[in-house]
Amino acid sequence: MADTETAVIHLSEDGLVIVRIRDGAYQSLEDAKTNLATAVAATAGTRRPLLVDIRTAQPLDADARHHYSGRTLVDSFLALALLVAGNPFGRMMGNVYLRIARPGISTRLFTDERRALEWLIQHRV
Amino acid sequence: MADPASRLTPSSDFTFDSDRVAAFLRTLESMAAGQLAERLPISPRGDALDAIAYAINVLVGELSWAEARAKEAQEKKEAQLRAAVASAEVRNGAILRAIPDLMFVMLRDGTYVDYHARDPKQLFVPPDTFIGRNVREVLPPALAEVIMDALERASQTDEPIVVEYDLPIGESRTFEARIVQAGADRLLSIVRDVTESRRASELNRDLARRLIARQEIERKRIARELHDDISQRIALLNIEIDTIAGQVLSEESRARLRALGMKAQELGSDVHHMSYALHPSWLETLGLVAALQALCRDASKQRNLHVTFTHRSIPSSVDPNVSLCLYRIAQEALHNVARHSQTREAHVSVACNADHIALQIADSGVGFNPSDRRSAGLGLASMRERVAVLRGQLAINAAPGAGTQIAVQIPLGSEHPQSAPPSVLSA
Repeated sequence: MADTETAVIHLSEDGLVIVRIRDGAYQSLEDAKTNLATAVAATAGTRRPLLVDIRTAQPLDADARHHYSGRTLVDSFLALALLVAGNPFGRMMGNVYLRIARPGISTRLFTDERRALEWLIQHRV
Repeated sequence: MADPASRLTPSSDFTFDSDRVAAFLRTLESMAAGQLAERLPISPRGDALDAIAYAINVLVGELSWAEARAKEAQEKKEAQLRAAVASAEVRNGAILRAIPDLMFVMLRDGTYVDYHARDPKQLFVPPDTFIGRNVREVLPPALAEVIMDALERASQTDEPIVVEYDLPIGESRTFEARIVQAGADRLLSIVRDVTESRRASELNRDLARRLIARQEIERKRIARELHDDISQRIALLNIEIDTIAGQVLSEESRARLRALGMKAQELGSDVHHMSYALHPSWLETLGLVAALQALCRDASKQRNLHVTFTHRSIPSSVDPNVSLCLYRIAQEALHNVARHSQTREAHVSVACNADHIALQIADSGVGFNPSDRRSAGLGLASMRERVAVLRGQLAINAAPGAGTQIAVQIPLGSEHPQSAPPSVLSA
């Protein structure tokens, strides 16, 4: 398990990389770089599914959002499950990410973590 | 059925605290006024107003982000362009400093627009007296017309127009201008002082001229010796042999003496041919056409060739230097046909028009590669020297398996080459 200033990141027993953004954390571009690099390190060199829990995170700025959806995401991960809050704001945040950032791997929004993990497990190699 | 208007009634989800709505609207107005760094407030509730605020924040953020990226890309492009321009300026500056030539940017109408001179002393007149002025106001009239003609020609072709001319800068100096198009309605004239190289060429040419003249005098002397002395003595020897043959009684001795007389006669004939080859007296007495005819006839007979000869519009009197040059080239070329071409057929033609006299020697033999240095013997070098002395042109059209054609053009009046006016040399 690795801790950064804005996230807790680990590789699960199921072979998924889990990123949980800390409660109320605001992520600058530098934070986004650190978090993504840490998540890539957690893959141990194998492309894996990725769960990002942004249920209690502050909204992302454009720079950070674009960094999260760049080439590194595609090169290191197989699929992305975005765990958002069930309220209108959470859904909006997730949808905006999908619509604007357009990550180059399979991506889905979830409000239920169990279903998110089930979906990700299907994407393991 | 429910009143449609009732669907417009805000539900509890759309009921917000008035202070919160006021803050939302204030920030929205500020953003609309151009404060794109501001963001709408988002509460921990995560309700519909927060979703709307987030959506607007994202849209404004994306707009700012796209603008920033476009600005970055533009700045990067401009920086690259500035670097490229700076690099080009440094390179061009270095080139200009290194080039000894003068350069003039001119309009098609002959107006001087810009110039470069590493040494201003090379200029005919100071820059402030020719920039913005026309060629006709700056250069001597005859030269100005030549330059104007060259500018006009250069503006109609992609090839450089080359002009050579003399200008009195201190002493008279010779310049070569190469004029090319340089953008809309502009021409670049690169002017090189070729005085020294022209003097060196002239010295070489003069030296070649004197060497050739000396060689011809020596040939003439030997030819005269052969004709007037050796040939006569062989003739006397022959008469003596005949006389003795008439006095001996032995038939066998008489036959041997007559055979000896025949050999002496052949020897005399060979000496006569040698004398003629060394100095073709017919050239002086009967003229170029008769001498070339005799040369072709002799080559046919002595070298087992079939040489045809044609001539057109050759004046009865051709400058002796030109006649001798053409004769010697034909002589050398036919010698080469016999030695190298592996054909027995050759054709010699000579023709004249108002400007020049032209000679051509052609065969359909094995040919050769003119760019192969091994093929360039003394004979071809001698031809070139003779032609250069008379400011003529010699072209060798040959290729392996495709025969050989030697074409010579000598300008009429070439015996006075020093009086050449400014001229457009080539396009």
